[in-house]
Amino acid sequence: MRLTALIFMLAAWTFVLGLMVWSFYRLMKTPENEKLPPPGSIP
Amino acid sequence: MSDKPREQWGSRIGLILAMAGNAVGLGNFLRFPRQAVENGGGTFMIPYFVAFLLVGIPLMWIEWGVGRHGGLRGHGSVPGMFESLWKHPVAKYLGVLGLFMPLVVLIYYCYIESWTLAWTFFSLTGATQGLDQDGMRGFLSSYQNLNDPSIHSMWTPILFFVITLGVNIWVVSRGLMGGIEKLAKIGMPILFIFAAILVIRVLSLPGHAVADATGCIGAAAGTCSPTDGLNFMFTPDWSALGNAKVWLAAAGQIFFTLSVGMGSLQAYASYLKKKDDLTLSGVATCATNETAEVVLGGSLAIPAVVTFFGVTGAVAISKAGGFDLGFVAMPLVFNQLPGGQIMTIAAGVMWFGLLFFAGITSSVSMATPVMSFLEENFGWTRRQSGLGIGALALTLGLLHIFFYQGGFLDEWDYWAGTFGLVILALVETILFVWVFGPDNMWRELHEGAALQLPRLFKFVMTYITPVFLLVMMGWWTVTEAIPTLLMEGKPASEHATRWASRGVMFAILIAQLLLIRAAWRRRAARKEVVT
Repeated sequence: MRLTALIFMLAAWTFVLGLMVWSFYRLMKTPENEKLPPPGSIP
Repeated sequence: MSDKPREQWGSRIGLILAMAGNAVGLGNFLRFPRQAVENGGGTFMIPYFVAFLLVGIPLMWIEWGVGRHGGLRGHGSVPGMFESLWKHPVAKYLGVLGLFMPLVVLIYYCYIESWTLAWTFFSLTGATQGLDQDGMRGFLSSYQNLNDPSIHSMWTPILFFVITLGVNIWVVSRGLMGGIEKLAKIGMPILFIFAAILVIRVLSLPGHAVADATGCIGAAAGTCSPTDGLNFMFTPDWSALGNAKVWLAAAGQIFFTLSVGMGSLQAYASYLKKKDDLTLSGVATCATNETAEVVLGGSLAIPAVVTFFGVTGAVAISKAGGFDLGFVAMPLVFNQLPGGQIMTIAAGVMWFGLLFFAGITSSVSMATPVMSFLEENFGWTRRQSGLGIGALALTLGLLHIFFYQGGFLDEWDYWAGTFGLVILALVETILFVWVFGPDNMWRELHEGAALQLPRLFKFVMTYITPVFLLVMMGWWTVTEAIPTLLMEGKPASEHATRWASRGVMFAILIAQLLLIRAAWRRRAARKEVVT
């Protein structure tokens, strides 16, 4: 594979894959809002 | 406004998959590779990612912000969302764009989506095996043209369209959590798994003898390989960077791929709670879509087609359009894969299966704004609104099937599916950033945020994004909208069908404007009764 094509491909892949992994990692680290039980279900 | 409590997303991952499913569509696998090879190869990635940062992600946040702001005030569709941002009688009528675009696109998109279901079936039954290029093109042409029963009966496309539409309506009728979210949780992993398997298969193909191997590393031996396809996709052409057309093509691709300017992202975001994050979730949505597009979409069609047809052949196929690439060239590639009949069937089912899932996770999102509008303003149940939209889509979808050859679908695709999106994006950016105010916009985006955005993005969203959109709209008006309006280059035999197509679109627009007026009159009457 041509070096310039390889560099562009790897740069593009690294950017999008890196962004996806980073964003999902950050999301997993952030706790979701606690789900409250449906109204009326607590006696 | 309905008194019923609004539905909510079941989980954050469900929301992100549904949002990403909305964005990931047929264009990720068919449009992106063509745009890249036609606009400078590797160099295309530079304006592409610049547009991603300056237009794509900012618009994604804007649409999530507009949606959640409206949803918290009981609005699940754009007319009400716009009114909650701008207290002016005109605001709700501007919001008609957020009902018109998704409905119009839904109707013709379901028809295209039904092709992918049909081709999954044809792959499974081996109907496309043994066909050469002309045979494969004839197979597609007979399907698209009801007057050509040489291969397909006229009932075949109608049957697959009815099934596809039926599945869509069934999913949306089951509600947000039980239908749309569940579909995304099943469909998106399947899509990624199918695509990943196909990418591995394509990239591990050996070199193949082709008629014209010009531009391939193995040209002397008359062979091409997947590496040649990647070279073709990613080798930079530096002169393209100075070409405004390339920058606008990149911005356009970012725009389409993220499904912004449609009204459907806002409808999904309207089901968020006040303290739900939207900054980081927006980035995760964009990144998932970009991975599907750049890593998977960029490594599938072009490398596969170059391996079996050479660079010259791939250019010719690419110029014939995305459908030729997906429905003619790819089945031909599958017919020649090492591994025999089983491999041909498996590859065909995975390719068209992933396109089907890419399509349906997008089309269900397009049904959501109009359904929300009917439920909230006219008291329709989810089932009633689903059946209503289904009946309308069936009736108007048949027009696309009957008049596809006359350009009926092209008109809808251009005015609603291309040009209209920029108009809605521009209007909502102006309303959310300028009318609502940059400080209010920034505060709204950071309510419950898991990610503090760099302040640079406030500047980008206030100045750069609207200017970018204005330039894009101006450029497209001059270079495309006016020639399209005047039907330049279209055969005279198509003019009547194209005018009829525009007439139907105009009728939909007027009907929706009247519905908005009726909805607000009902609201006013209800307020009077309460007070």
